[in-house]
Amino acid sequence: MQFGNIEGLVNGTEQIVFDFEVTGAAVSSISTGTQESNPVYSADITSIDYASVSSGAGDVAKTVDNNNANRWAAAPGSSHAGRSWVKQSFPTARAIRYWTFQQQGELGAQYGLTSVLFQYSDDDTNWTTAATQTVANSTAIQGFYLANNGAHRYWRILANADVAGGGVSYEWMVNEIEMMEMTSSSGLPIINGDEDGWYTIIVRGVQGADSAIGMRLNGDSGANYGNRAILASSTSVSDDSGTGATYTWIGGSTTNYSFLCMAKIYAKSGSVRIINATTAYEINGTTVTNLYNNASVWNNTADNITSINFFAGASNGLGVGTRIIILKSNNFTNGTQTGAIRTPYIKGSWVRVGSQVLGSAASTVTFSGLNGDRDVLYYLSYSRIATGTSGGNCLLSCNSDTGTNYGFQLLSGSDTTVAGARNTSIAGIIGCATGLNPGQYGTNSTILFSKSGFIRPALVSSIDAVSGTTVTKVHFSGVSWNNTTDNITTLTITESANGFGAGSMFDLYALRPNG
Amino acid sequence: MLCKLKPVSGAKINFPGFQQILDFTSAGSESSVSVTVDGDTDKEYKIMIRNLDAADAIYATLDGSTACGYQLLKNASGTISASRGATAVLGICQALSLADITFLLPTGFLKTSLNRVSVHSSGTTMSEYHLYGIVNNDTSGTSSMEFTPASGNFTAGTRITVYARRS
Repeated sequence: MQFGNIEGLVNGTEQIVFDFEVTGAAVSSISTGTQESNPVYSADITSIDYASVSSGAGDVAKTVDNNNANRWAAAPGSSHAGRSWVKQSFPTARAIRYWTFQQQGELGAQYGLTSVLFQYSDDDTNWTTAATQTVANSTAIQGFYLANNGAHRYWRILANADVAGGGVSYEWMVNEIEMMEMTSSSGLPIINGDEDGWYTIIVRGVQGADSAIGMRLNGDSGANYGNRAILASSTSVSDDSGTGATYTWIGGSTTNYSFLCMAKIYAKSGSVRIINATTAYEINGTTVTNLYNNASVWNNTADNITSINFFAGASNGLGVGTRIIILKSNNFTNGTQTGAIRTPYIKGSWVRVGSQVLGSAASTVTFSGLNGDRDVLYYLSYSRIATGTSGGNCLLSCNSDTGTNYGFQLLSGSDTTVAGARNTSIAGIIGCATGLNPGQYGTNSTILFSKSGFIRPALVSSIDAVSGTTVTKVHFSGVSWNNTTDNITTLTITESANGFGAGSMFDLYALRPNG
Repeated sequence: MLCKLKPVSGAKINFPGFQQILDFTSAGSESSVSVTVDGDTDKEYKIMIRNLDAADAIYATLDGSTACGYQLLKNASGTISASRGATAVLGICQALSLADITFLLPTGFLKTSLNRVSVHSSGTTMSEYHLYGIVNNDTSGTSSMEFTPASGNFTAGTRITVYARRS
């Protein structure tokens, strides 16, 4: 049986349970809080006084006059996608949690479309998509729930497809829109460590101030944390450890610099809680200053974890663009389970967006048709078999940018040699490194934060020059793509000398928090 | 089409992504646990282990194959070192540790794993951090994944969770 895309709890998956992005202004802390059970919504808060549209015929007020018999029509002339919108400019910031939409006017399907973006802004200039929404091309009043995107002054519905009749000749007609806030809910904690067991925590930080960024469990600010880490900074590799700390370090550095942290925690009570994390931090342009592989502990065996708090040591240290995503393991015994019913996509879970197994040798593998701003995070996994006569770097480039717009901080181990290295001018995200001879293997895992607006950081793990029972090298790196503006639409892996042999396999996954 | 799905007991869903195939919590009476796999189909596994035993590591193997080698990078009580050698396992979680492991199994080729292991000592002291790359010199198809403590049974509460990459 084939389903459409699925939204909802699905047993047997790892799914997003918390997703928060700092917008508008920097903050000092972020907590997971409570989920929203039994929500209650306000009445429609739209108003003629707040209404405006992109262009077109008819009174804009008709979109919010509670009269389904009349409508506004966006001007034809070209595709409506990305051009035609209807907006509410509230006098104060509002947190929209439910919205309704009716289209087509009285003239039929040629004046309707099948996809819109529901967006918000704090300045009426820079827009963030809260939801990419498939809509029915009908006259039905359609209602959509919206995740908590915070409070903003400006909200709009932007066409994301052309009308069925074609935008050159046909208007897009909107009869009515409504927007509601959530007034109450019976809150249960989003986090339940004893029930969930495992969490994956991904933090892409943008520093709002010179500050360390820490994580506390259940808000515990006592001296109950400790760690053991390997810090690589340029060619220096050193121990960094401590006991009796008041938080677990996640990231942090200089104002406007970035970091990327990926952590796994076993959250169930009964034993101390251990966190396994890697952070690339003090990232600016193509400079990745530090790579931190960290083992940490919360010395509490008894308490169920019901909240996770992220905070900055300095006021407003969590800058605009900071994104925190937490995935939980769904292990409910009475939930849906993986098996026979097939669906292409489960919202909030990693979804495969590309897969290639080479039938013959190649020097380049490309994944195209991507939308990095929608996907937010990519996980690239590959195993390569070397061909040719000499080893070369594997480099991952974004949007075919093969300029020296990337940098890394690397930590490696080869036989008894531990090494650190930094490069601020390389032509891609380094994967399997040099040194493979024909027939040798390399394997690579890369996590790339793909959303534009800030530099794109990545965490890379590689096993290099493998043959028989010999692993020649392991290396780990934090990488930066110094491009803040372009949406990622292609990812290309290139091998500079060997080529990828037949049987090499490449798989790309996206997280897509908003669907 | 987007479907909102209420929890339905017994309904099974398949999708191209990471699907949980094992979620094991030891009662303290088990000396091993295994799960049937198809490495040629799945090609990648994500494994997370929380080992509560105070003395014994937990080892992961595929079809019982022991022809393995490793490259290790570690911080042991402040001393950072690297080493290379032979081993009989493809995955390892030391005593009192949390391990985050990835197995990659390209069809017809060697099997590799990447292991990150955080080792706890007591209280707020983390004693060690290990980063392993391991190879299993076996190109045959994979049908079973096994987890075994170094000796005796698992300690009660030890948790092993495995996700398979499914198409």
